[in-house]
Amino acid sequence: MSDQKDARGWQRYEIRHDTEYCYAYSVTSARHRAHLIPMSHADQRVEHCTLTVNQPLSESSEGTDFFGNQYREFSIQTPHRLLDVRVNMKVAVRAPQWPDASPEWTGKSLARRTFDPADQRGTEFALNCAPYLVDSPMIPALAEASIWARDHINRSGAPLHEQLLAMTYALHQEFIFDPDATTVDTPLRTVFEHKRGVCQDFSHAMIGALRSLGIPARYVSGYILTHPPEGQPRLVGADATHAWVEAWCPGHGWLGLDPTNGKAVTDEFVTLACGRDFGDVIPLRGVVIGGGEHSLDVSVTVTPKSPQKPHSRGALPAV
Amino acid sequence: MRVVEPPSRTKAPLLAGYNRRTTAERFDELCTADGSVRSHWLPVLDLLGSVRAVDIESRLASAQQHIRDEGITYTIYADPQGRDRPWALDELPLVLPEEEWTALSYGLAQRARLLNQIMADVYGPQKLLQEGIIPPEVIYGAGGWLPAAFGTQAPGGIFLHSYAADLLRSPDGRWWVVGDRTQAPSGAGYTLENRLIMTRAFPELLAQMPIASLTGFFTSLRESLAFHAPCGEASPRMVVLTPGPLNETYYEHSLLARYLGFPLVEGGDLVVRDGCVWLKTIAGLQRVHAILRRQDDAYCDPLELRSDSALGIAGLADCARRGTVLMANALGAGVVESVALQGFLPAACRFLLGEELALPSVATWWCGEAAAMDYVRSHLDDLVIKSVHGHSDFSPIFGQDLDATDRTALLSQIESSPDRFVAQEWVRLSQAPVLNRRPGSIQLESRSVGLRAFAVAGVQGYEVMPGGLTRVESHRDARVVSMQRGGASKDTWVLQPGNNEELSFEPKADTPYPAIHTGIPSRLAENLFWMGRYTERAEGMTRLLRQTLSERLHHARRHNITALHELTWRYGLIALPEGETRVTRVPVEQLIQCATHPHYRQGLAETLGQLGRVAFSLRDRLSHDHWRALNRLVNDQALAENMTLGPTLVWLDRAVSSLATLSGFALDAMNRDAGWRFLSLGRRMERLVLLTSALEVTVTQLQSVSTAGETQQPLEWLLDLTDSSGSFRSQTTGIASWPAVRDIVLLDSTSPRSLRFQIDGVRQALERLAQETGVTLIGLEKTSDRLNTWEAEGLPETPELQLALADQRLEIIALSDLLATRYFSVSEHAMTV
Repeated sequence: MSDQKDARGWQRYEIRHDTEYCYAYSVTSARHRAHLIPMSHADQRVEHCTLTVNQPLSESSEGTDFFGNQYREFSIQTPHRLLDVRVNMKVAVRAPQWPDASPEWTGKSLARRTFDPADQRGTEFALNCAPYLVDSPMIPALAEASIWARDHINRSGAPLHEQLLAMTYALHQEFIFDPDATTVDTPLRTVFEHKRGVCQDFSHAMIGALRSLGIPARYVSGYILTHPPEGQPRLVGADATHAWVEAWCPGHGWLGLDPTNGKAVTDEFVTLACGRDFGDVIPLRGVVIGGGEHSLDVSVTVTPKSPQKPHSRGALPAV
Repeated sequence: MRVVEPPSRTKAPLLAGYNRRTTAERFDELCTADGSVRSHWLPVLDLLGSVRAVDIESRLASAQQHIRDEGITYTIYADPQGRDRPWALDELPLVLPEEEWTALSYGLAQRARLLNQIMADVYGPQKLLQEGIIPPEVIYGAGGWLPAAFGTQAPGGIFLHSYAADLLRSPDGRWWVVGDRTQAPSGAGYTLENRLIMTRAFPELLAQMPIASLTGFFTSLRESLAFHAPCGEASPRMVVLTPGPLNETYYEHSLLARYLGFPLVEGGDLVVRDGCVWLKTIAGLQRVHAILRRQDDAYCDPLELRSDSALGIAGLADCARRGTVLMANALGAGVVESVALQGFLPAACRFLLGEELALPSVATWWCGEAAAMDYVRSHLDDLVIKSVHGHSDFSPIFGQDLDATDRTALLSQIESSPDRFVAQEWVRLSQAPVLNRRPGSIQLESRSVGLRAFAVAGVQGYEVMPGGLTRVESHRDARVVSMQRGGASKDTWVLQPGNNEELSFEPKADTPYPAIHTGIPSRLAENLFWMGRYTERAEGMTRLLRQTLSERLHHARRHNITALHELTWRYGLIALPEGETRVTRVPVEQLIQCATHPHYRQGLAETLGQLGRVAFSLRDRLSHDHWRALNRLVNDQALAENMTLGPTLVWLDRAVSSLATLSGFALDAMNRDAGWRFLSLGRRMERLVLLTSALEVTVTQLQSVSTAGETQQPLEWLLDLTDSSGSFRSQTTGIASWPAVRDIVLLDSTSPRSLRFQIDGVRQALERLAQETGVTLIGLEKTSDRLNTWEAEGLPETPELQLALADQRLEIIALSDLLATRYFSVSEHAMTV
């Protein structure tokens, strides 16, 4: 579909993402690695993005990682007790194309072991999908994930994209959003055991389930627009980083699915980075000398810039 | 000339118990199918046969003694004894003829070349995946895949510098690879050590047989790293990176470092700045160009890889990717260790090298392929099922061991995630003779063996070590060999007529040797400093204990408390009952325990233990004899529970002489470089602590006695303790009066045990260090000024002297801290946030 005929509109957002480390005593040397710079793609245009640090940097470098994300590594040799890393960005997003049809799927693995070099689909799969089909450090193969997945597919056959959305909705229904139930390090097994957690856990659970069925699935970090209660102003810092899932649908490509909210990705989602699991896209990590105990405070504000009109979900089915 | 004897001849006494021979089931390294000895073994058996059995016994005993004395260790993680198990060596080598080795060695070099190309491809253009030569799950799913290594610019295009292959021999006599080791292959150093032990135990065998030399392998490694190191015109600085003394093969790390002439460093010694890796030295940061790592991929960088790793260097992965440092081997090398890859190597070899794979793997089926899965289903009895993850909990399962129920369970486990499993043909291991010692006789027995062979990326291409680490299983008919399962090792002799092993432990003088860099690593300086302190502390303790306990022996009926008892308390050798602040009881039992009990808090055993540990980490700096003397002292049998007074005194005498020997080594056998100065500073400062405490106790006691007779006794012990009796008698008429004693102990600048001498020594060492490193540190100024004043104007009255001595102790402690912050600063702890 060419752009002229494409009726999907672009939503523009200004996003501010602050990460603040406060240390009990001075850090004498620090090195950090950030996945905080979004990339442009078909449905996302990065118009502007700056990353600033409140301390003088002794070095800074950037690059693109294996997953196609931009990363930045910087170090600080000035003693400090407070580190503030601020990212300001302007991004335009449009709702991803939702397929009208997709192949009937009965639960068979999409993995392609062998293919002819002339077979484009095979090559594409080998290069783009295979890294997301196997175990990853935070998403090991789990019998629990496999059982859950098998209970939620229609083996007699239904279009794959419909089955994916149904599974997204089912996970949203069966798992309880509970910020106190898990930490960033909670093993996936525990998440399946208690069926509680936050977006990271929902996404890891969904990815584990999809991979157990032979469907390539990857982890996406980013932002989601939240809606303040009726009649109240948008509060600065009230938003948070979000995480969701992309699953591979042959003939179409990656489909964005948000198991935390039980729906497909819309133009209210801004993508930061993608990887096999959270470990590949950690927004900011660091190794410091000194510092002792520390607190970490993250605040995110997503401000819509285009006039807000009643939300069109385009071709999306109601869930 | 080499005498080839008829194959029918057998060595009757040796071979009496050896009834194995080659069958359809197993290959026998020694005997052919008809039971005759293979010709390449004959010279070995001849020579062995010509040595009398008792001689062999004593040589074997001395080889085992050598292993203990040298502290050659290997850690078995599952062993309750835990750390530092003596290295297990069977002295009978595995012998291989030249023609066989030539073929094997070609295959190993080709395989190394292939694995290097595979790494370059999968972390770069990925043609192997694009063209469908290797299924992507085999690369991505094998656990060794490291996204952080994608795009690595390996210096010289070399990812794989050091390669090891685990080989086994099938019943038809062919060699097969059963595992590739590419991350941080271990064993080359132990192979060298085995050869050194053999050279000692059987010098005539090694002199008479044309055994290929191992030394060229290490020279090639050093030259190749120096050649490819990204250092421009500068001379390359190369290091061996170890996870530390707790690692199973730490002994080998220090051996390699010493043999290659590289500093042995831990993650905390290196730091990333300006996109490069630097070594912390006492003269500041110095650029590192090449890292021979003995640490697995995941632990190398806590910023980008495993964040729970305390062993890594933050930012190393980024430097490695950009190629500002040569990593041997490149990060991500674990990907080609995957057993799942083995079945795809023939195709990859044709695709990448345009050659047929010369040295194949044991037949391997990756269950992720439908055809392979079918084969596994129908041939399970002949197969070994393994996980594709080298480090998984799944231990290999032999299909033939399973009953019907287990079979079904295993097959359904595989079918539920076939990508995760491989099946390998079960190859019966070959057997080789081992020495079986019985009192008065030596016989041969057969055991399963496997061979670990090594290759390095030389400047001209891959070179294979002619020999290797032969591994012997601990019992007959074993199906796998593993050092971790308690097996032993053997030297491997490749017979190359015209060649001969000339083994020297130190690298040959004419080999190009990396330029000596200034600035020793901070950790080395710190360890040397502590080695000095612990040695001196052990010596001070030993003298003090000996003196206190022999006083008890000489005056068995006297029960009065003396200054010596007071000092043992002040110096931390004995504890007082709760609530007491003075010694009120003669603490003989406590002192004996302090001298001997292995678990006495801050006792002699503990101090010697600390000395042993710090010396272990300095293994590559100490001479053989130095190390051996130290090893014997810290493992002395007297360090046991329930010792009595007599043996304790004998032990303390022995310990004093051993410690004097160690001082001798420190004086004579170590280079007087900056490192030595730290050792000497440590000794001097510890000596000052004891001297100051002794003087404080003396001065206090002099205050409380009045008659001349009573002053006699405390002063003589002071002379004894400071080893100054001799110099006292040579200078005076023999009556130990306080003014005469104090002049010697405090102010005599010619006596190594005087305060003056030690303080001058410390100050001179600090000046030299300032010149050598550009880092200035001034210490003990007040004490030194005070001594000058005393020399000119005489000593002050007791109360002032007491205060001055206490003040001096504080100054010494402050200096120790200053040294740590100025020169060491490696103990700073990194934390991930």
